[in-house]
Amino acid sequence: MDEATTILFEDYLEGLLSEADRLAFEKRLAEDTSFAKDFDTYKELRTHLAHEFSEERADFKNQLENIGNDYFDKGSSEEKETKVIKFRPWQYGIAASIALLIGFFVIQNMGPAAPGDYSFSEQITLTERSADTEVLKQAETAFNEGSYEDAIANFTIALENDSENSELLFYKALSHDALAQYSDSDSLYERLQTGNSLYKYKATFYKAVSLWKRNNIEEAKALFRTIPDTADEYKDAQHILKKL
Amino acid sequence: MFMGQNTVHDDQKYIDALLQNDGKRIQEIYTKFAPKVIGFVKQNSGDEDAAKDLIQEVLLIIYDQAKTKDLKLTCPFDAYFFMICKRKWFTRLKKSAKERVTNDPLAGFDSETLQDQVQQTEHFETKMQLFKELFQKLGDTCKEILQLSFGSFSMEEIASQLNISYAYARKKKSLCIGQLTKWAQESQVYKQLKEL
Repeated sequence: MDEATTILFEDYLEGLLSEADRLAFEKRLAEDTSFAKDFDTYKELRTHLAHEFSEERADFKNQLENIGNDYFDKGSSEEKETKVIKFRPWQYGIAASIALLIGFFVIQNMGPAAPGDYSFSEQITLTERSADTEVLKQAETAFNEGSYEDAIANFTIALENDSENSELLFYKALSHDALAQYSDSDSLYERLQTGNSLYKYKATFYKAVSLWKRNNIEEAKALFRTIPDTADEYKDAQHILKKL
Repeated sequence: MFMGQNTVHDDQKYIDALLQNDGKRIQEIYTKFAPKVIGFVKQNSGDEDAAKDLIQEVLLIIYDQAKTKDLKLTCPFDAYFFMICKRKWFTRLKKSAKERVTNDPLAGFDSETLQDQVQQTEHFETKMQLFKELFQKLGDTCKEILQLSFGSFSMEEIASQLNISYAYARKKKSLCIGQLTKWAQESQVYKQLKEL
């Protein structure tokens, strides 16, 4: 395979050949087995390289690592805790009845909902990576202590090397939200809403809560409605919609 | 190779979830299918960290195959995923020679369809591994041009960054892929995989 053939392959795959040249190329592909064989291998390698170095693959790998870390770090400890409670079949019935009673009691005693009831109040544990561990620790501590300005500064540094990290983008959005810096929080929430990360519906939910907090009830309702029943936030969203 | 059935299995939804980078569904893959792999690795001289790496590697390979080879699942995801993990783990144990593997771990397929599907993924992985090794043999300029041009840089940007002309950058890109093509065709591994 000479240089000219290689360049011809590339031009064909880039769509740079004229109509006549393209047809001639395809005719040769059909007739010349050795040419077709070379082209197949060239194309296969090109596809491999295009995929290997794509941002899409990097995003996927990143998200896979986050989900894996999350599953192994948090999931397995939850598993250990749940192992303590072992029900026999007949006990499920009793447990279900108790749950039903508690549920009924809670519903009966519930007052009007307020956005504050749904503001983010968990302590966060950021997924550690080899780089930036110190920055992440500081971001985590600042966020958990409610020092949102410090948290934002550290999230910004961490995002410089990892600009698509949805976990960091989400907590940065919450931090801006807590400081009432709504244009910043909204743009981060929106970025996550349009993506397909684990934080897609979390971002949708907390943006809706934020709009509710700002008394943009109609916009908030419209957003709560977009949360599908497969999302963790669905039940809360539906509950709020009923209240609103 | 066995001729398997060609009907796409309902579990293709898990392959599609990987393709779409659907976080929720990928989480579901972990919840549903990881425990079996973790249990297996732990029973076979491994720990949770090893299982975690193994699962990520296998999911990444499945994703790569789905993206570049339009992988269509013709058997249940559970069996397919577990079998790839299991065989990969045993191969690793054998290589590290820490463990003597007495029974044949590479046997035990439930069906021909499963065997066919698993082998396709393994062949795909072998080929990807070869392509990665060949890439490492390239000179620095080639590596840089290919990495950047298939990343998010235009050929104009690459030319200016590497201080070369646009025409040369384009020509060089095809010549670099041409070099890889030549090496691949000379490789025994590639020839064998082509014959399958």
